[in-house]
Amino acid sequence: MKAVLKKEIRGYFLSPIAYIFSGTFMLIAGIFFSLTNILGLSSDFSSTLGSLTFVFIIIIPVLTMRMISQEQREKTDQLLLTSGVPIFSIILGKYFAAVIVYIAALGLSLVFPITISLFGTALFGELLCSYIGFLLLGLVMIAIGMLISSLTQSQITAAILTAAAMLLLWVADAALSLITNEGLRNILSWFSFFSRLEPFILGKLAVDNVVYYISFAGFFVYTSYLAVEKRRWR
Amino acid sequence: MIKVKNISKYYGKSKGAENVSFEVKKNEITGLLGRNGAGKTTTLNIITGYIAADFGSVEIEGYDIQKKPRQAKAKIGYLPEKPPIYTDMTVDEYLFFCAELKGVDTELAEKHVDEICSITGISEVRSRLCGNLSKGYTQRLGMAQALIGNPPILILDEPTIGLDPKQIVEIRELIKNLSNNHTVLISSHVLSEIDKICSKIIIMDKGAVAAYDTLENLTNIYGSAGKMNLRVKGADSSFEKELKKIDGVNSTVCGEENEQGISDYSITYSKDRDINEQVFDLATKKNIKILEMKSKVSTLEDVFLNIVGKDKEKLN
Repeated sequence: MKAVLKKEIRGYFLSPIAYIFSGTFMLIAGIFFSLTNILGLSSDFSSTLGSLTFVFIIIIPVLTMRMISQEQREKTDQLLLTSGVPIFSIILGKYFAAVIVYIAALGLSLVFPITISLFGTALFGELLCSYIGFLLLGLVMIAIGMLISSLTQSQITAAILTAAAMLLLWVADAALSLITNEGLRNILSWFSFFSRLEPFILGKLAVDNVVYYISFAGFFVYTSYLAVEKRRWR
Repeated sequence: MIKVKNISKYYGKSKGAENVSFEVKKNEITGLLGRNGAGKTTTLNIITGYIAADFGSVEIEGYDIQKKPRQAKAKIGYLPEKPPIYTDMTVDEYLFFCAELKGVDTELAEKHVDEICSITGISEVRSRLCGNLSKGYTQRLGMAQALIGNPPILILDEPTIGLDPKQIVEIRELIKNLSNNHTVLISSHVLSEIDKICSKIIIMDKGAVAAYDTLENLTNIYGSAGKMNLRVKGADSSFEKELKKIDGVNSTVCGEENEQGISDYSITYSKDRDINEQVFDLATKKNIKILEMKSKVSTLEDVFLNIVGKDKEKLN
């Protein structure tokens, strides 16, 4: 896993992907920070972070589109899959590399609360919860993106499908209120990844939500492994 | 070393490989020969564990590739048809990545990579990006990655495809040298390549093994009858009769004698015989001068065409 992890991280930073990813995130976060915190005279960066969830639709596909699809297209997966390294380790290596790039981008955004703390009072407890929530949501989104990347050999198709999946999940939250059947709404709300972030933004670190995100992330990572494994049997 | 037992692989309704069985022994170079689409690459991909067979099993030095993939794959160095290189890495970065991937000890990796670069002749391009290498160097790099970790078995899929004649000779020499301490399974549709370097030959057709033996035995079984063209001076009509009496000769055709007394004979004989000496002795005995004697024995191309049919494809 270590070899794949190192190779992937290197690949992200030697290609424009890591820079486009973190640059876009920082640009949008900066605009929201300026509008909400500077012009709005608010020291609450957690809310700003909470309103940034739509950014996933744009940046997660950039991060995940090439994860597995490029290996399959270029046939470099022949090297990985015949090397003796277990397929699940290869998948984990790729997944954690993307997570590390994601964490690096999140880390860069710490410049905003630090700026707030220099001129006012930053609410670090809430902020910590918000960042944990954002990280957990990212874990699930990256896993979904990786799964989609494992299903196609085209990076563009992977990017478009991932963006569509993110958009669907984002819109589904809003659409939930339109469903009148309570039973159905309860079932669908269980799959509402974005609304589960709200308690974190409010500073509540609920164990069930942490388990929820980690379980889904684990599920999609495992499904990605199954998708690669299944390709061997096709 | 490699035991392939009844493997089959189907892609929907079409068959990639069907009931393929063979065994490759230690330090043997075995050639896998077949037309495009005969099932060579599918077979190699199953042996290396890249894809799984629907039926059958593959054992690599006693390890089943499906049940003990880690141990089995550690014994194999695989050069696929398209070398699996990362174009954004330098040659050095790529080889060190392969070394780490294959579990080569970090302290030994540098020396190991140095050796392999030297063997494969890529030392002078180590700092270059893989994506900027020529086809020849890319192929050598593919060979280098297959050698990383010193696997006892090398599986090479069309290793000389797309190379110029000089590069083909170099890669062929490299494979020959490697066979001293490696078991090699090499796939190709270039008959001359298999003919020159392989001790055993597997001929595949339509996903199945059509023949599997040494070239000598294949020639004896599937080869065409021998042909000899003879030009002599001073032969009389009894010469043809005597020629027909030689053991193994099937037929003789004599052309018309020209003004200088020169006549041409066309002789066909059994593929398992060599009649050169007898013909020479007969001519000497009868005081006939041999001006030209050409024998055409069965080649791998004849064997191949006799097995898979002549009408399908023009061969190299």
